[in-house]
Amino acid sequence: MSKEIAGFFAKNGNMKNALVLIPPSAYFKERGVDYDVPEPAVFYYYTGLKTTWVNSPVASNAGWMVIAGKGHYQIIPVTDKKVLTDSINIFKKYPLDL
Amino acid sequence: MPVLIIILLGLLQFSTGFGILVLLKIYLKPVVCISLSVLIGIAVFAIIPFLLQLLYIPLTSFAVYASIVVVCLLLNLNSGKQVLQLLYTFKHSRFRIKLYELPFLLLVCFIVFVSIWRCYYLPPTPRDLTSGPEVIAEYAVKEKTMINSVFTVDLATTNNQYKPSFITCLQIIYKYAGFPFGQVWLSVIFIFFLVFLYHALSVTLHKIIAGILMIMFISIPEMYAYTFMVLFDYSNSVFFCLSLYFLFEFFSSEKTNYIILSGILMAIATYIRSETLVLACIVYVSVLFHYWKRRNFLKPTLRSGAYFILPSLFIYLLSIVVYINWYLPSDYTIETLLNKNLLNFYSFYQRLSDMTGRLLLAGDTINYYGYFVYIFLFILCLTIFDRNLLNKTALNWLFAVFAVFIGLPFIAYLFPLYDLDNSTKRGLFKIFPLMLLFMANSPLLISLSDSIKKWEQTK
Repeated sequence: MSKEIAGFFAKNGNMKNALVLIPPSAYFKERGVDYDVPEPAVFYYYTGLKTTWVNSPVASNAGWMVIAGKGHYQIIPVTDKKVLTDSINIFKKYPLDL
Repeated sequence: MPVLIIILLGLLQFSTGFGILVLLKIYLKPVVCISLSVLIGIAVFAIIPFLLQLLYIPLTSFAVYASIVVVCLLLNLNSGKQVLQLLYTFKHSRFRIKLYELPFLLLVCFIVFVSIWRCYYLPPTPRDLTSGPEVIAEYAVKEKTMINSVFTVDLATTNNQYKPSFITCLQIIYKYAGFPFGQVWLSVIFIFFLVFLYHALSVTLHKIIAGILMIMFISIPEMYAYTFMVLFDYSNSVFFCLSLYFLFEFFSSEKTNYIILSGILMAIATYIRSETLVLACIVYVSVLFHYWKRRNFLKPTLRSGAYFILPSLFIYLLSIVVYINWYLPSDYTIETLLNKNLLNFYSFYQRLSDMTGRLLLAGDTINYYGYFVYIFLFILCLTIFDRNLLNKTALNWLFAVFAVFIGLPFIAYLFPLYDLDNSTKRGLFKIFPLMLLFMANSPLLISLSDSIKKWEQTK
């Protein structure tokens, strides 16, 4: 799934500048998506895409985020900072696991 | 082709290490000389890209390999005669293996082969590697600097980017050599350390006993796993053990060049894992013991201390204080990691108790370390009850075991992040070669070896 996410940005040509907020693994599991989220450094190693976790001070700079529902995930752009802040607060309810 | 590159790099490593041994005027038996030269050569390789980085020289493949060749040539300006001597010794020495050595050697070769196979074809990718040294090395090759785009990534979940550059540098060199995941160097360290150990055991023990001990050592499950999984602790334990070996050689021969080599090897161990500096200071107590009853106590103690500790201190300052504070684009202060309540020794006793109870004598001992600790204790108890007086070398190795035994909890007391289940568990790798070399020098096994040798001579 990490490769798919990276592939999305590679296809759109904004791999270098994108910062993607990825919620904790527990969030995905609850929504029926089996995905162990790699930490940002590991994600960058395998894909070259910069990601961030909800506990990071740079999370509020994310331009994209991955959300999930009913067994599917979606990559959406952040158009409203308030939506991003609310999303981070919701994601923070899920435990982070390395 | 990969085999050719490995051989070529191995020859360069051997030449580099051999140059250092010649400069220090340390002349050893050919097999020991070769294994030690390769190991020292790998360590020198691991410093070169780091020094280039400190000088802000771009880490292109040309810069890295040209520097390696230049360093190798500079170190070998006076080695010509010694190389000829080594070749002459090889030409006139007969390589003999006795029949009873074969089963042990074949078994060791098989275990080593499995490790090399895993290392080359199915390398594990531990998170500590991929979130630190490996990702930095990968992007260093792409961006020609170790201070690269990795430091623009969200690194809030890890501190592995601040680990010493030993692995990063070797990964860079081997990636440039055409190995996408590097790490072939780990097998080289593993093989040549085993060669060195087998020889060290064979000096005092009969080869049957040396073979049995080698099998027991190589089969320590947790330690074996780290012969094909790149992290710092296996290499750290190798250079820590080598340093003590030459320190104790210095105690018996009083040759200054041995303690200088010991200091260099301890510096390499400190470069690999910075907290080794604490253990070096504890081991220094053995230098005090050595000079204790001398009339002129202070001067040789201080001089030996300078030879033994200063290289480690220097490399610590360079690789941790200077590099992290002045080069890396992030704030990381070691002081914040220190225990704030140094007068409270509870954490030290707690870690000592947990380490002994959960890792060394009970709990997960068998899973992690097999029966090795029990065998060591068995030999130790037998030696004591047999009223065999321990010789000085055995006492030195026993002290070294003790130094690691109390040193690791002391490190955990100083740095609370040094946890039990990861750092201490792997830190204990340092204790096993020392236990092995204690057994090699225990009067009990030496007298048993002598009995076997005498019996052999009568046949």
